[in-house]
Amino acid sequence: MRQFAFYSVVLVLPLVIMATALALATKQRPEAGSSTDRPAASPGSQA
Amino acid sequence: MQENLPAVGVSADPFAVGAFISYLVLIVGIGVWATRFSSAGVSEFFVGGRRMNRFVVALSAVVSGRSAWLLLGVTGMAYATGPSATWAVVGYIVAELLLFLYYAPRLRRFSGRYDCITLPDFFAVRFGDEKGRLRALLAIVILVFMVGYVAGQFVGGGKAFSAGFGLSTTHGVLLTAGIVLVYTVLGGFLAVSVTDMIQACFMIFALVLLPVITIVELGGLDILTAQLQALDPDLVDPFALGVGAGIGFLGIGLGSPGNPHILARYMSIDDPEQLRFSAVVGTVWNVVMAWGAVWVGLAGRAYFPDVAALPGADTENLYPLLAQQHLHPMLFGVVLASIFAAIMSTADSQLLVAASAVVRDVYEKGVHRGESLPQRRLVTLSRVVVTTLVALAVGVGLVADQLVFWIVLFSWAGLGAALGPTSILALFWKGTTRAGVMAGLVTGTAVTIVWYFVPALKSRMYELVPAFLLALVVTWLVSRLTSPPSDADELFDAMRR
Repeated sequence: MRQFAFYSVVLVLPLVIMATALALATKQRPEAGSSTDRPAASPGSQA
Repeated sequence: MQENLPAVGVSADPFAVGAFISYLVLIVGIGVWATRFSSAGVSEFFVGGRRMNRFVVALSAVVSGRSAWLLLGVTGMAYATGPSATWAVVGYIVAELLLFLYYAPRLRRFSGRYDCITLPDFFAVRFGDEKGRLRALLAIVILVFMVGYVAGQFVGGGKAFSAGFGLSTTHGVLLTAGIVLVYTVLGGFLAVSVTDMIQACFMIFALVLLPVITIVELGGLDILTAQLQALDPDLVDPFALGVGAGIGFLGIGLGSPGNPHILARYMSIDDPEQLRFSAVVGTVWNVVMAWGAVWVGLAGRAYFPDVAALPGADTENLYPLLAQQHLHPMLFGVVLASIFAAIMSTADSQLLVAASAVVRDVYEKGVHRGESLPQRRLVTLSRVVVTTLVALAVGVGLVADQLVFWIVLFSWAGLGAALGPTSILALFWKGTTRAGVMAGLVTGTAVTIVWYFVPALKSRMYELVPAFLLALVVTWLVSRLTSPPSDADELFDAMRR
């Protein structure tokens, strides 16, 4: 039982959190419209 | 969350020194590269002109919030307590996922619409702070906490230089501050964000490599768990901690929405809709780094069952010692670089936020309110202020290095409790008022201090949790008793699109 809890927390939990992030990000839609000040160039995108 | 850094020397090994120096040259080079862009204006200098790429924002937001506490503190905690240390990382990872998805897009849209560069800018517009009192209060709170916070990072860097390269702590502090100063003062937000991204790569590389190699060398997971179980059954029990400690661990995440050096990253993204992508990348990075740190601690316990085997009998020395014993010297240099990466990626972001409080909130919007100032002048002033703040932080770090450790802990809790609940309510509840926010700021700060200094309270739970909750209640209560801004509907519209 203790070993099950150990593996659940140190191996499964991180996968669950990452999967949740992906599911929430995919599910979420913009509230309305789009950004009004998006610039043309993006210097940070050079990275 | 500060650390006694590794008593493990590398000064004699040319591979390790070479890897480390290459890393420093890369970081400074990025500062030089970003100079021209950051000189265009204060928006460019402090939030990258709100033109940052989603990947850069994801990694920068994540590592700005992770100091060497993750690499040295969490590894040491997992070494000492086993997998229950995991709960210390779950809280902030979940909190930051929610921030990326729900909080950050609203803050970013509002900031873009009303040209907000700093968090006080956001509060001032949101609550029609015409006299500038709310802005001034916020600037003072941010400035005071951040100078101490930066000082703490410099002292951490100084100790790392001292332990790793045999320099004196004073020289180490000066060297850390000098490196951060060069690339921050030249390249501003762009340099800080791009270097953060590089530093995030160093950190994740080291935190994946070290546990994988050490566990494989040990013979695999089953042998590791068997050895831990034989040492102490609690070392394989993830629930071997008290309720108060558990809540306190998870409550660490309450600090994230109140730390402006993290929030500034959200405000800098080019397209707020891309924050969903940043949420996934940021969470993956957070998870891999955090669990890597926990695995390092667990593997380290199998290799060094007795804490006396660690330099100074200090669990925070485990990470570099384990790396030194199991990695090629060049990779050990990378591990050392990852410690500096954690320190510098936090210090640089905090430095910019503190400087923005002086230049934007005090000078431009306070002293010269209503005037149009030349951008070139503001950028020059920003560079002078960054330099001054570095000098101040170095002074604080050298004069009061023990006090600095307290300030680091207190800053995360104080900023989290003061700015967290107030900013959440300001973003999600139309009924929030200026008076409510001011009351919440005072409550969050005061409760943090009182809780910290009353041993009976402090021993029960990390002060951030009660301070955050009380500030939330007080902000709500005072807001109910006062009138919200008449244009709250219009302001909320700006958060939605």
